Amino acid sequence: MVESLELQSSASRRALMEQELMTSDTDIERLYSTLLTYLQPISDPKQELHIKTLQFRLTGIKDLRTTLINLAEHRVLDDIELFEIKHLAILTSEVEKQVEMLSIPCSLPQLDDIVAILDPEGLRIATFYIYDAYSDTLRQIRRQRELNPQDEELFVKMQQEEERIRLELSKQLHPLGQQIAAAYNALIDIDINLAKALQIKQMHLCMPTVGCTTSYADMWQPEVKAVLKEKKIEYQTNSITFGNQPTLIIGSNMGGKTVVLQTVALCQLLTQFGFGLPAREAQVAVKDEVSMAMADGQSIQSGLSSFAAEMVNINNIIQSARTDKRVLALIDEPARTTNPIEGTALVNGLIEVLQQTEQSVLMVTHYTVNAAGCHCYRVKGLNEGKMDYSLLPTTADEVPHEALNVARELGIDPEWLKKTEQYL
Amino acid sequence: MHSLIEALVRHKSCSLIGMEKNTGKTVTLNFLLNHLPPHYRVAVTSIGLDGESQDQVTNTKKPEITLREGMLFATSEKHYLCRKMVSEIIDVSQERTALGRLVTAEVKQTGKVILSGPGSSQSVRRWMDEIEKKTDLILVDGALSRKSLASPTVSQSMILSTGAAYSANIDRLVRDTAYLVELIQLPLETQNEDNKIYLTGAVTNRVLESLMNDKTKADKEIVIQDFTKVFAEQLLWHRLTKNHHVSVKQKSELLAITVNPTAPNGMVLDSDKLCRMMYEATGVEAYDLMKVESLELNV
Repeated sequence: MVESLELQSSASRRALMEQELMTSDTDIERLYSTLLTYLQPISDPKQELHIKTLQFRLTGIKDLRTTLINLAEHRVLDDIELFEIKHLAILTSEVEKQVEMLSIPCSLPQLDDIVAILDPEGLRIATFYIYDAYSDTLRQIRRQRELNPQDEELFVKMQQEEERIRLELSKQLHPLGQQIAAAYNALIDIDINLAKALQIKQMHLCMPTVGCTTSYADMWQPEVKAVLKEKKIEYQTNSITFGNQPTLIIGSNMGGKTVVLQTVALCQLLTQFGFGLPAREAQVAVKDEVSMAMADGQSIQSGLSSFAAEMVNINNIIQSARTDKRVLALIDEPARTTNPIEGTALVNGLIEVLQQTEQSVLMVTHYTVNAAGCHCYRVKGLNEGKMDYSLLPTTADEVPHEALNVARELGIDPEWLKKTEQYL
Repeated sequence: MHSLIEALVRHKSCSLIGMEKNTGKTVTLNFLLNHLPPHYRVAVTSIGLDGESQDQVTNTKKPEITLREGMLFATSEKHYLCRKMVSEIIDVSQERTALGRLVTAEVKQTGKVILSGPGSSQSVRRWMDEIEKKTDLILVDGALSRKSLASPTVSQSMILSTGAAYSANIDRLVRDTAYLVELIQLPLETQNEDNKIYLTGAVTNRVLESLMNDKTKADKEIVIQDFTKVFAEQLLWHRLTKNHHVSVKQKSELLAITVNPTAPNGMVLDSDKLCRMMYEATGVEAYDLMKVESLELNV
């Protein structure tokens, strides 16, 4: 999702990658209401040119982190850093005009003072050098140099005067450091928000509301959808609701259960980073932690077998579920690599332990377990030889026995299947 | 107007390459800058940091270039900050070279600067595209080093500097220069769709040997990226060109050869003879620009 974001500057990308997961409901709500103000002009075809212009302006954001640090620490800024600050100040006022035209409410700080300091000739163009206008001495030395370009002494004099002016400028700019930093961050926010809003429009994403329970209507996994689209296959969306108790997903193999877990994890993280969600409608309960126990966690490096790695992983989930943190745990087929008798017992135990923690847990299993007190979803499964991936709420703890049917659809050796049937 | 300048102004961009250090590339660049019409808007940069690291090894300084008021140039952050001129920053790129970001500036008062520009063909290309609308001519101080990632063929035209620093043996100097000129002048690939072999990497002796021993590849057109990719020996190369049509994907027009008859050890070749022999061997005009300048002063 981040990859497909149309960010205009590398500084914004870096800022985005350094962001932390938001865990406050109000922060998340505020961000989405900001995004909403971007969505309105984006959807208006008359504003297309203004959006393009804004995007073009945002490409001018330069990475100012080092410059800002130097400014804050009272260092004398060099010509390049002074150029960057002037460039930012002029860019800010240009972006402000553009944003106003799009009626996107933004609080960009006024940097006119800064422009005034760095633009003594009042040209309002984003170029910079130590202008003659800064000092008569400098102007005189430069005039003399025109006659004696080879005079080293004059050159040294000029350098000294230039350095004195740089020191002066740095002193004047120092108290404005916070404003400069605020403008820089505001520009980056505009770039990120605009890119997010455009992504919402392009990928037909939705903006979630924040609530106590989580509920997705017609969600999809964007990567899988893209792959299917290439093969001209339609993606079947899922809907799911869960609260603060274990929720089981059962159903035939190849029913897309793992994809459901992945999509739920994706949506949770997208919400807490303030992105659009791949769903028709969504309500999300904000969490402090998203834990996953998925796929084969076998790790040769740490010398754990797949079973051991999984046990350790799930154990960590239990430990963090017992804390005050709000946790979303996504567990894909726990204890699948051991014998089914002990496996079933382990899963039953796990469900009971997790029930006590009152955390949101989504678990996929093939075992017949005691699902009392759990929500349960079943993948509809094979229907006239075609897989129906939709999730149905179910109350029973009957696990569908469709493995053989699925295997048959895959064209598995008939003799093997025939022999298998004899054992059932 | 000097005939070299006349040839130059017909192009939007020109790379300067040298067969060896001290063959007079900087002299050539300064000559061009001094002799271009005064109203001409010129932008200058250098490609590759390669020269830089070498210079640090041999402890010789990379030469400073004198630029006049109104000229544009691009150099790395480090070299920008130690320039000896008054200049106004126009842009600071986000791309990083080993010596910091690339600064593009306009000269406000004549002075000297060390040029160290973008490090790859793509970034030179990007810079040239950016600056093109502001200029009549872009000059690129190109590295003809095997280590450079940037190829001088990014520009429309090229000037080759050679001289006694490469070899004090006049026959060898002329022969090797002629070989390089032959490579520079390889034709662009034909439109002919099939019957081609693309050599993507370096064209070494071994590549050529295996190619020539492969009977299935006889009579095919051989396409290489550009002349800088050829590392093969002359003899072997000429065996190849006898049986194959060899072409390049990218080339630029060679405007002239400049010669420096003086070697760093003091040995001096006959300038007129050298120019004449170069012209006879390559068909390309050859100039000793130092001599041209001293003649001009005498007039």
